[in-house]
Amino acid sequence: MKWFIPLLLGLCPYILSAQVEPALLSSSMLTSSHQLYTGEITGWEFYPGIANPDSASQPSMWKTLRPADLSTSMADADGKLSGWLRLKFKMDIDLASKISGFRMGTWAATEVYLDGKHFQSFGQTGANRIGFKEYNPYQKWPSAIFLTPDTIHTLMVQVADRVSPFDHGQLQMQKVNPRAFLVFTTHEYNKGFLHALRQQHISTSVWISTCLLLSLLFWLMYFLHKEESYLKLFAILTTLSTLSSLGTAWSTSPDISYVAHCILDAAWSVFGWSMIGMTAVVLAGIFKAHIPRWIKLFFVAISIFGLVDGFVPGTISKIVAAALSFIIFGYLLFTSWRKIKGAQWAIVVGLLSTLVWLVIWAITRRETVASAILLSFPLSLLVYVALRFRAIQEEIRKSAEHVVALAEEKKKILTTQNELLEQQVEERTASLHQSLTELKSAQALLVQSEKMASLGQLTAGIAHEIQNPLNFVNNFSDVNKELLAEIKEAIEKGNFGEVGNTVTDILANEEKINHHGKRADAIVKGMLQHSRTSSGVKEPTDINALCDEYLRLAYHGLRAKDKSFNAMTKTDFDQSIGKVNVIPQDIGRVILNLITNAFYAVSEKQKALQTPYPLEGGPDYQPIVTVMTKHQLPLSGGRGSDGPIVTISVSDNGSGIPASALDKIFQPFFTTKPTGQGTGLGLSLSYDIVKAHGGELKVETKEGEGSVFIIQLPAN
Amino acid sequence: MHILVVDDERDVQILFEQRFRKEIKNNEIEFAFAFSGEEALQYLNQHDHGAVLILSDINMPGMSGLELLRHIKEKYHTPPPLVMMITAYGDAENYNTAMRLGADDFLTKPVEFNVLKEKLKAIQ
Repeated sequence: MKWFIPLLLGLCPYILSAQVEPALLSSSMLTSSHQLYTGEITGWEFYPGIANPDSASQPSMWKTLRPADLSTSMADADGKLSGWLRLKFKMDIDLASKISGFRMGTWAATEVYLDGKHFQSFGQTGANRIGFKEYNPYQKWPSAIFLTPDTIHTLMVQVADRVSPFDHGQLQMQKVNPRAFLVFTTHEYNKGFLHALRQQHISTSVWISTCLLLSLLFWLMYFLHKEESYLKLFAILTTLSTLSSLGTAWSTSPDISYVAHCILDAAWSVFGWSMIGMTAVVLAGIFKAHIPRWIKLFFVAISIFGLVDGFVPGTISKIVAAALSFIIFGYLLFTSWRKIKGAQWAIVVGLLSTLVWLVIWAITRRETVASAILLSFPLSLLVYVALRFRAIQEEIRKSAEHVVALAEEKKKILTTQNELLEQQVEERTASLHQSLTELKSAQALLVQSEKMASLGQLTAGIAHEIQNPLNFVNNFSDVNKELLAEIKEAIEKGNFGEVGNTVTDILANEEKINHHGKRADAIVKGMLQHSRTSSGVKEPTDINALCDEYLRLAYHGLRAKDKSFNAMTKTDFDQSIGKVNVIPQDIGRVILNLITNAFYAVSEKQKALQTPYPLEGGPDYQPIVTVMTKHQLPLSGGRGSDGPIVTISVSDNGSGIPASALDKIFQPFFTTKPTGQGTGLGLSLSYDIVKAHGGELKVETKEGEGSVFIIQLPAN
Repeated sequence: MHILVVDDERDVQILFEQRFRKEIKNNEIEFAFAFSGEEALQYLNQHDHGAVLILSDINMPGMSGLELLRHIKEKYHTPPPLVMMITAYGDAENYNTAMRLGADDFLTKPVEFNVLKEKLKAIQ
């Protein structure tokens, strides 16, 4: 069917010329961008419907209507607008010489006929049964056109458009400036168009890549430095900025559909406004360190506004939103003005420079300036981060220095403390040394006092033991005195017969006096020997005599101290032991100690049984202390098996030693005696003495039946 | 008078013989000596009615003087010999025990021989 349309149109100028005066087009009608928008020229006529208005079957019903005035009311129930537009015009020579191109600047699909000939299709009107397809007017190079001056030309345009699916109040062609419906372009425009296109591509690329890189950088930094929470805000802001710039660039690409264009347009609007809202959040985050609830609400609100405005653009709402945003920015800035410091100034500079660029752009309208507007704030974030990291690094360096200083200080303190400690250790060592010396002398004193204590126990016994020989001395001396008196008397009488016998008696008595005097002397010597510090010299000693002597001394000593005490003493001396090489004072002390202990044990048992005297009533308990010596060959395998040994055993039939005390009896200061009665050193010293003699001190005990202490000494 | 002296000190014999040499010479007193309680009992068993008076020490190894006293007073009823205890320990308990067991007298060492002679005269 396409073939007949030019044929029909060819007739039109001649038919209609009489009705409408052609529009006169002159150079003065060119815009600053060197174009001539025909959309607003009066002289356009409109005929609705698909059918050709000039076909013979249709009566011509043209009415005057500019393309810019086409509206949704002219669309049918399906939202389709179809019709014909016609313009007759005449160009002066000046304009005709300038016009070189022709382009369509709206989303309407059109078939353009010039002077009855098909000139060009923009999109598909659907009239030729191919189907409707709107025309994407972006980044299109004008088609060349040649118009003769002062000639009446007729533009016949079949137009098809749809009501916008996003806004039922407007046609798709009204999305962009409807005045741009058919635009004559000049050579100048072509030049500017190329320049602008290049400029736009460059600035869009710069914008997108910068924003993309910034957002990538901030996200990366945020994931590496989660503690720097502002990085997240920056990352979000630059991401929004990236998305917005992508939306802008994409929505004006020359090959997308109207729907895609609208969605992308709305998208960049949402992202753009969100970015503005985010700017407020960032400012609050940077300056307030805390994002108030109302700022968050503002962000959400302005994002929603961006979405709505993306589909239903409104100039006043935009101005209000922008103004509100700037008021909020200003508020955030001024309320924190005094506190702004360091890296925060980068943000301030970024914000203010955005404002400055905005003003410059308003004046110059240059695409490069627009880039500056959009990039100056995101870039200031980068500067902020850089400065912030420098500050952090500075802080780290300072804290590292602090740590080093602290470590140094600690080291110094440690050194001082070490020195102090060493000094203290030295002092302690010295004092310990002194304590040890004191302890040693105290021990020596204790040993001496133990000796003295045992001597004290002996005193009464010694007195008793001395008493007997002294009695003899006195008595024999008395007898001798009498005998001498008798002799004197006999001599005076001349009775010499009995003198000889008497003298013999006197001599015998003298012998006795001498003997008992020596006996007393020996006892005193023994006592002195006991109290003296050990000579440390071993000498052949009659162990049996030693035992006998100490048994008597101990018995009488106890007897003197405690009159109620009585015990049976038994001795069983092995005469074959002969003299044993020992330090008599030391071994004597051991024997005395063991005997004293034995007496103590039996007396305690006696007291416990509360028998005033064992011979009458009560349990028949007879305290017995036995001292036994024995010369024996060593038991094979036993200790000291290198020679014969002498054993001295002191046994008692006391209460025995309880198992709990048995392992402690040889420990120094262990005593079962009431406080003040025992030094607790007796057995300990005894043990040491016997050990020093290369012997053993053993104990055998049975609770309730008695104990046996056995001294084993090498016989040689 | 027949007197048995019991003491573990052997020199007591010489001392008594010297101290009472006049009485011995005049056959007024006849002494026998035992050096332990066991020996004294043995003597008493062998010499029936041999001793009229027994002078005994208390502190002796083996059988003590008090034990000896008990034996004498239990065994030899007719006529029970007089027993005089002599001890270095003149404490009340020893004394009481001796008296309870039937001692006829109690002397403390050192023996005052004059006093002893007086007592013997009184007995005679």
